[in-house]
Amino acid sequence: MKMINTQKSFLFIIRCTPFSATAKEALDAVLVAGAFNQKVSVLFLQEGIYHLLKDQQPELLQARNISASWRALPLYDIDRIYVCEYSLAQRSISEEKWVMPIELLSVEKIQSLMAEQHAIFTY
Amino acid sequence: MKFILHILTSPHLCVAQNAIRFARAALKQQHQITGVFFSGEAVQVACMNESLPEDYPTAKNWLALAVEYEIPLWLCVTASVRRGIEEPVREGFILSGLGQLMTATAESDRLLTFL
Repeated sequence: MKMINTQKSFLFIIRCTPFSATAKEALDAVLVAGAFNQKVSVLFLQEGIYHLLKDQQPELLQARNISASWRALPLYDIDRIYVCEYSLAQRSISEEKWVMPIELLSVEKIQSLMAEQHAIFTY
Repeated sequence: MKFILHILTSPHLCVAQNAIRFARAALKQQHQITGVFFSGEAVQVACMNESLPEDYPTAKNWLALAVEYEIPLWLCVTASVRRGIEEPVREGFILSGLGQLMTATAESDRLLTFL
């Protein structure tokens, strides 16, 4: 397979719940983009915000805890991790209990982040 | 413009049909489809044991387009194996990895996701 010569900006929007098969595929895609040396950003939106919220209990659903895997992203030099402020407000989540360092983004900031991208992957 | 399509939805849903309609319309206007990457539920498009239904003829339509315009139809191998789809897959589809999606996206002007 060809390697990518020029570095492109790839944004991954995670909107699915953490307790789904899609969540695992999203994580795989982010890691592969990182391995291909792209400029990767990850934005957690809507139901996706639960991926990084502390104190989830996936074992009650016999689901896997995906938070631990996301936490490893900085080890792969993926450290642009964003959470949508509006999605938090919609769900009345105000406390900042995150499994890893994140940056909260307003809708306006999300718009400019999206405008900078070569491609936006959505899960 | 060069488009790459990323399809995550089951071939039995309306969205899967929209992706084909988009591809047809784009090709008609002289745009290029560099490839179609099926992942998640979308890989079921290549189930060998499934007949090609007439009401949602997703596989049949993709195969026809792919032959006419030489468009590669990639199936995410991880998603496929997870759903029991292994070699040999339905003729016309190629088992491939996420690296293929990244490379093709970097080389295309636009990525369109259907989910």
